Amino acid sequence: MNFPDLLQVYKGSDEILLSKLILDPSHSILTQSFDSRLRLDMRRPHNGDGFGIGYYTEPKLGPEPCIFTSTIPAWNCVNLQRIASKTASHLIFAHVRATTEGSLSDDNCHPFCHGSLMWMHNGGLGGWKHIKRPLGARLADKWYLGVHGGTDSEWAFALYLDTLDRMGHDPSSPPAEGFGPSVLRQAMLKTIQQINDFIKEIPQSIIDMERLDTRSLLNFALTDGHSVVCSRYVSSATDEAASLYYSSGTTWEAKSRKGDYQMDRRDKGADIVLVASEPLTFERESWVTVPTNSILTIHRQTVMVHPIIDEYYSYNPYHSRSSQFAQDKGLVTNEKSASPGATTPSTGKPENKTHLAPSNHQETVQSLSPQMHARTNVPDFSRSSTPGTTNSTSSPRARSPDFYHRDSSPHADFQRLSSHSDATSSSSKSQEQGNTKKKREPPQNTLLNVNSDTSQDAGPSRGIGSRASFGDPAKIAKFFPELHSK
Amino acid sequence: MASVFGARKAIQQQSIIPFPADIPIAEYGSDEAYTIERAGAADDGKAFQPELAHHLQNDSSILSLAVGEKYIYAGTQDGEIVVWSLASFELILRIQAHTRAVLCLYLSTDGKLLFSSAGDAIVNAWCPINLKRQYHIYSTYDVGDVFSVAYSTQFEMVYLGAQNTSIQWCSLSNSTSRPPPNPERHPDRRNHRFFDSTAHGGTSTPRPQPSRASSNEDGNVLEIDKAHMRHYAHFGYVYCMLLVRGASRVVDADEDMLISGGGDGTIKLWQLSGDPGTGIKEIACLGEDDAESVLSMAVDGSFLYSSKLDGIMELWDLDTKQKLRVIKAHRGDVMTLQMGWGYLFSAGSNGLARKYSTVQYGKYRNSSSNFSQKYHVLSQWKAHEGRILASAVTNFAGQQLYITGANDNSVSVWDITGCADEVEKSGEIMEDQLVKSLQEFVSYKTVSSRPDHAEDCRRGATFLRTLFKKHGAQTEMLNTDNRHNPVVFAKFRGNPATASERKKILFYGHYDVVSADDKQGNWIIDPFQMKGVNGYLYGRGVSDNKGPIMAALYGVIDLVHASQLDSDIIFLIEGEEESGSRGFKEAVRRHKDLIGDIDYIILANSYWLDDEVPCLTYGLRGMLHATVKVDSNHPDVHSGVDGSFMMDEPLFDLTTILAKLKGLHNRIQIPGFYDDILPLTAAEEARYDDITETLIRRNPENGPAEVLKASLMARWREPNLTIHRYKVSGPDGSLVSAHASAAISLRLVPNQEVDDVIKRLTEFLNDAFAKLDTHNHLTITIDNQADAWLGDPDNEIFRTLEEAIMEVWGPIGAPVRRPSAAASKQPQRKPSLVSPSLKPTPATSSSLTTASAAALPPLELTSETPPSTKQKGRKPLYIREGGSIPSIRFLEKEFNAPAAHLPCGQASDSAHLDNERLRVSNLYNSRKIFKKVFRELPQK
Repeated sequence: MNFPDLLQVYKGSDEILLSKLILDPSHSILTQSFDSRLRLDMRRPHNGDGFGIGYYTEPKLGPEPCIFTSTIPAWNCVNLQRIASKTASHLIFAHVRATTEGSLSDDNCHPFCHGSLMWMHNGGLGGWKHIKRPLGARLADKWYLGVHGGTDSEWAFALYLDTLDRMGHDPSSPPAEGFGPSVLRQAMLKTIQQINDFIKEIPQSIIDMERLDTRSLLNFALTDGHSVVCSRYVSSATDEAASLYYSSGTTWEAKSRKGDYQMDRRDKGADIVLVASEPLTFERESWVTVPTNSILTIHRQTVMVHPIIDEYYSYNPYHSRSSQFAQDKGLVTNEKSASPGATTPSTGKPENKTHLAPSNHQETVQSLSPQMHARTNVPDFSRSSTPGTTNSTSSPRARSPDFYHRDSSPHADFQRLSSHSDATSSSSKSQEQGNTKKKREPPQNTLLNVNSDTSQDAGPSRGIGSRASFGDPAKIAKFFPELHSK
Repeated sequence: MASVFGARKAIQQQSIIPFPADIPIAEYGSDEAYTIERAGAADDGKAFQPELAHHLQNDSSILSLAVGEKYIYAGTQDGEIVVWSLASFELILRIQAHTRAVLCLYLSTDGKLLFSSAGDAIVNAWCPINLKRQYHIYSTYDVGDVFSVAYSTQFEMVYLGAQNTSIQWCSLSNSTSRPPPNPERHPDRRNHRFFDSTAHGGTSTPRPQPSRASSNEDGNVLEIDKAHMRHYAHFGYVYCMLLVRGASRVVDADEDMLISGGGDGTIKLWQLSGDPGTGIKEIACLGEDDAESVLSMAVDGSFLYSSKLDGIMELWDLDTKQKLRVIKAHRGDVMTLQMGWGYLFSAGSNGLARKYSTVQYGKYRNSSSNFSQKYHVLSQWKAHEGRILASAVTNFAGQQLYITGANDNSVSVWDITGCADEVEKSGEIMEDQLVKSLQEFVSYKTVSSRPDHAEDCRRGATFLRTLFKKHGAQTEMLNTDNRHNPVVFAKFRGNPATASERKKILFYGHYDVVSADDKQGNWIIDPFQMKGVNGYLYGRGVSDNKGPIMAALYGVIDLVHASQLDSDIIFLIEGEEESGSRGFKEAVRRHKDLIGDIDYIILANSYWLDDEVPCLTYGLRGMLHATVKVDSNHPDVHSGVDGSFMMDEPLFDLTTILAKLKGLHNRIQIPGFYDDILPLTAAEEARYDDITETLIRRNPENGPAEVLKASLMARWREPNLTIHRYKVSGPDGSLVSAHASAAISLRLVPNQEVDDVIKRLTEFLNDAFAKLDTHNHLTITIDNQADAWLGDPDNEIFRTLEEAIMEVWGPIGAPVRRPSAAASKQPQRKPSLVSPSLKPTPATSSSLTTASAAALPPLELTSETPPSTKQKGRKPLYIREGGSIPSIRFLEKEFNAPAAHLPCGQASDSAHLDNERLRVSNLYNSRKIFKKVFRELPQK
């Protein structure tokens, strides 16, 4: 496992010199590698077990990224200094590693890549040695054989590639404009789901016997050279994920003295987006926390954040998570309100909370329902759902998972909610769905068909009906006769 | 037209039903295409380019704008809110509102609260009049930048849209629903694992001093309840919000509804509630979660326009939730949309602004009968050099203003009045007509000193005469001798009923200007293209003397339109004032019959003593320019070869006699020179005391009082003699020149007769020269001369002017609170170390203005008190001037009428210098003063 790793992503409308990102800032990844603030593993505070940079070049040199890795500590690598001050790119991944899983080898340095896809991981897969075999078994040969190193991170990348392939997108032949943010995000969600499913198959006896901790910290970063998706995830409802911050603005400039970089806003645009395990500067207004259990997407300089809604997601605004787990793993989370070890909500008035929690829960569910995001219509499940069920889950294995459906809709991450509603209204069905064996069936299962039917056929027709039922055709016709000329 | 969205799946899906493939997509692949489009639409003659009414320059990027009844508010990159007056475009106030860029300003619909949101995760609410903070609102979440803020007056609820994809809300009325603010949870104070962490040495990065929270504690501090938030309101930044009413039948017509646009490309409609526990309920979602950010929105009736990345604009119907139209509007991103007067204005990252005709579903719907003209670009123009980030629309003083703010650090105010068909041109003169006339007047390069501008001078005179004529005056062009520039004569006849006894007022001015080269690039604008910047009109001649002429003309026009002109107003505007009024006297004398009798003479050709206190000028010094020349009989010779004590050197003779002109402390040695000067009366001395007291109260650095007073008196009521330059015949080197001359001048004061002084000066120099016993010859030539002028500050013209000034300018001399920061900025003036003299250094006109130039304007942003309760301030300052205007005394003598002099501009107007300017409010107020004086003076 590679917990005390650090990762960093740059995506800009303009090229940036690598050194402005990696070497110069006051808390650059280079500095972080020996002055990490959020990783408190004092036994080995230095992320000195190699590093890697991956960046995309001019199109004429091909769509694949250039990757530079080294097992030398980053601050000792004179070649890094040379290259970084003469290399510029629109899209840069950087990673510093402290070996806990896998040997000290160039093969084990992030970022990993396949074709135009590039991957980094900060965290670790829960119960790794018990899921490595089933994970490998799931992979098509191409992806299985593509793993050269020994890290769980690289196997997770292989799983991602396999997932993307199964979704019908060949990772080896990307479209000219990339796979698109929805596809990449969906594949990420499925990968996380798959990892959770593997873990859930570990027999309870082994967990009890080995006192196995099955919780995963899955901060993944993936790009196809066009879009970037970064997850911040922990497979726990009560723990905090490893830290992840982002920052966007229009200029990234050194103020006054060297290393005093600042993200500035001359307009509302996000010409520069940075994502990093630890902020690169001490400008506190510049950095925003990526919420725990969410996916951040950068597409064409637009930043989006989507929740990862599963049994570990909490709708309760007062819900707080413990940073103990991440801390134990040598990581610290970036939630400010949570004091170490706290598992109960630390803020809010109890009487207020009991009053507010249900309504807020309902509303949040509504707001996330596919009704609003896709054309499928779902039953009003919020009324039937029991407030607190979702966030009362404390153990990753306590509830049967009703993770994502496999379907090819671009809104699969929200489609999932419809099944969530099914699950809450009918727990037996939920149990069935939670059977990972069933979920392992190839993507052509009935569930998919039902869902895809709903999203592609039923949706629009329903849409017409509902649209026609209100609104004033006469008004529209008055101004836009051409719309109704057919 | 073909779809531009061939590659975009989402839109293609969208267009399957209900209007497959025939969503009318107006496509303009490039900005050039608009030219074609406009050419096609130009046959109706509506292609319209709005005029830049004013340009407001700031020192940092403008990210947000709001406009109220009287003020323009702008949020800057530095976290400031800057307030300009709509009336005068002056900077009224600048406050440090936030620590990071102000991303959104929102003026509540009742105009009582101005909300600002910023990159520092804070929302503040301000009183729009004095910008005192009323509320300080923060969230306990890590919200990042707060991109948008809106306020429902109905529910008394603030809504903020933030970078962390949330919409949060906070009730301003329901205090029980709020947690008591805990300072430890404030974004400035709360502990942060990273930013407050310690390095291995054990030290943490010092936290920046939270200046705003500690030093500026005014206003209620509100903490948003953790539950009063909708996380993932969008799956992207919540870029923009609108608060509308009656836009969709989904919500009651009399109920506020919130519309938000997000970075995920969706637009959401939210039902609101007065109960913060209920919060907001999503009632519709328009568009796809496709990362095509919604950057700005505008509502017209139930139609919603949204602008997205890459210049796409979409039109939505809020009742049916249909996407009616997609328009490719700009090449870059459209950052801001505005609906105004039935038109849609878009402005974007390429600095272009565009005006579209629309379906006009709102109250302007009737004008949309011509269906084919919808969404035509009626005009496009380069509004800014940078990205346009914000816009606003308002009506002010009969003008329709479209205001844009950009990252070129400026705000531009566009006058689009008259572009709407339905606005009838009314009979009354619009406020900006004055500025437009002045702008055209300035565009004529009437430089009298340069022969190559002779035609420009003629054209300027013709323009002026035409303008007078257009407004009903009898006009003539009075020719001068030697083909100098003509004098423009215009006569407005008063009420015919009072023809016999009506008074006749002569206004004297000049249309010529001094030259203005911009070869060094010192001008911030083209000197002959007048432009309004930061409350000032810049251009050659705006202050000297074209602006005051226009103010006087429009003062008369106002009276004519109000049928209140009882007197005859005669304008004599000459074209040679800057060149010694060549031919003016003769021309006036020749046309005395035409001009007729005159009762009063008014001119407006000087400036206030400083930039703050209105003045009246009652005295001018006279002057006498002379050349003193000494010639020898020999040619230029070598000083070593030929020079000796026997050689009388012309330059030495010249300097010897000139040196005798002044004695100790610069006292002029001409016998009897000071005899005729009028003694200082008590009334006169009181005026000096008044001036020094006022100036020193406003800026103590002008003191001490005695020195200032002495300096004023020395300049205004004491004569002086100056040697301007020497000329010698030979080139540089060891030569004795055969000829030497000096240009000298005397400034004379009232009661010193010029001819008398000429006689005494000549005698004195001849005597002195005779005593030298030299072989050389002395000649004295008089180049130019003018009598001093002294008006009577107690006569009826001055009394009328005084009343008018006090009424128009309001209380004069009211104590003004100066910002302490500005005061400390002023450079410390060190006593001169060079001069061995213990005499005090005199104040100069520039030293009186430096304070006001460096300081910010008064820090009071007060609502105008109604006229009934208007406090009568003190009188204007009665000043004199050290300079000379030859024509004033001439006119007094010629028409046997008293003259008065109204200074219109400020001391910092830089007349004759680079960047000559006139404050907008001075122009408008001068017009009012003239109107009042022209109406009331004849009644005295």
